[in-house]
Amino acid sequence: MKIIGLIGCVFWTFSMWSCDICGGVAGNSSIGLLASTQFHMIGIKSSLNTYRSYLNGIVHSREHIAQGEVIARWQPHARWQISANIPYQVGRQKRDLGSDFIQGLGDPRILINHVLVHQKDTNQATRNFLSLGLGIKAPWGRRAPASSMIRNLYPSTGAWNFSTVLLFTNRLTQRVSLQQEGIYTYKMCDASGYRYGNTYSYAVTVVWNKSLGTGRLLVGPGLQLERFGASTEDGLQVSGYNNQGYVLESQVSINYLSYKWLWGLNVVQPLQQNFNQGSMKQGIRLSFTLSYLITKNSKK
Amino acid sequence: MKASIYIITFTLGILFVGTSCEKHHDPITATLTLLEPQAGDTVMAGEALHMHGTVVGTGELHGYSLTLTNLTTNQVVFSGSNSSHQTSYAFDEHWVNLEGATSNMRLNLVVNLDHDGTTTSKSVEFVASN
Repeated sequence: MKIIGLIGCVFWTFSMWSCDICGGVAGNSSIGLLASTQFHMIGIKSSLNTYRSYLNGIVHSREHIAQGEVIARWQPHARWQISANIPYQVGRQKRDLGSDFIQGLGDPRILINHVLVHQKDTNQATRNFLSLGLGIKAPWGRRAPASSMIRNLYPSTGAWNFSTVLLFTNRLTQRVSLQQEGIYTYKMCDASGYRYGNTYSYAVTVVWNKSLGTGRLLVGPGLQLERFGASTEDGLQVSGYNNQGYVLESQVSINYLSYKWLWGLNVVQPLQQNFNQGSMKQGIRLSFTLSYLITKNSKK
Repeated sequence: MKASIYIITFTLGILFVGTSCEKHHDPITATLTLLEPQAGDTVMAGEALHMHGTVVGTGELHGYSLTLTNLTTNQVVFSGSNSSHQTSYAFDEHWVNLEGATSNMRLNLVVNLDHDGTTTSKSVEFVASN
């Protein structure tokens, strides 16, 4: 019954945090599947992001950012959802003449989501779903010293972020639904006066589901466009490399939902990008999520 | 007899062409660019120096090295080398001025054009201030 109740669930592959790793290019932060209303969830997520940095078109460094996160979602009410996660990050930059290795706790995040519309059909499967979320990222992780030249390798940006997330899903057929999401993230400055630019993103995902064994397989190919504003220092736009740009990405999520567990694999491949005056290019990104589902206590 | 003459002439012709093409490779050259620091720059105490530049060869290069020397004390304060074979390189390294006294500094970039010791280099001088 639990699985059937999730047929109308929606993918939540949103990029609300725009965590500014390597200057903000790593905007996505999929937290996996968001069942409409039925479960609390707790889980772990592992991800790997890769980048290359260029000077006059010549590679001068390669960056690998790995993250492990504890993620949780609490469903206090049919129309309210609270998600949170705490990341631990390991970052490595390899250059011709040396390397840097930075690890530590990242910035914790919380999202409060309000379900504005949730229409179901006679089988109780979701037909239309619209939600608005407000998120906060607190600068409590390990941050770079003010004089650091490798600021982007640190787990924390040292600044508060505030996000709004608008998510709309509508079912096209019994097995296919379409999800769209728009996210705007406002970023504050850190203690040294440095501020990453605000980010905007729009993503569209087609979600296909099919029963498989004792569970259900959900596959979601999609596209995502992210735009990053210019960084500022003491209110003035940083000249030269200021993290401004955009990334158009393709992505696919493969999830398997069993009675108590939700498995997820997400692969993101940039299609087109122009970021930081072409000085940085994002490579493929992989993430794996495993969540334990906790059934809500129903009240009569 | 005629056939033999043709064969000999043809063979010699091939050998001549082969020999004449063999040794006419242009020597490899490289364009060295030091973007940072610029000559005469001053790096204040405690600040980081950005060592930023590119090397572009006309063919395969055989590595490069970067050396930062305090000319006042004659001490090497930073050095690094890359021995990979590539047609171009870019570097972006950092050094923090903790010299304790105002010093003249020199950044030297040396590129290996072959394995016989042929190199080309470029250097820039600046000041590490206290």
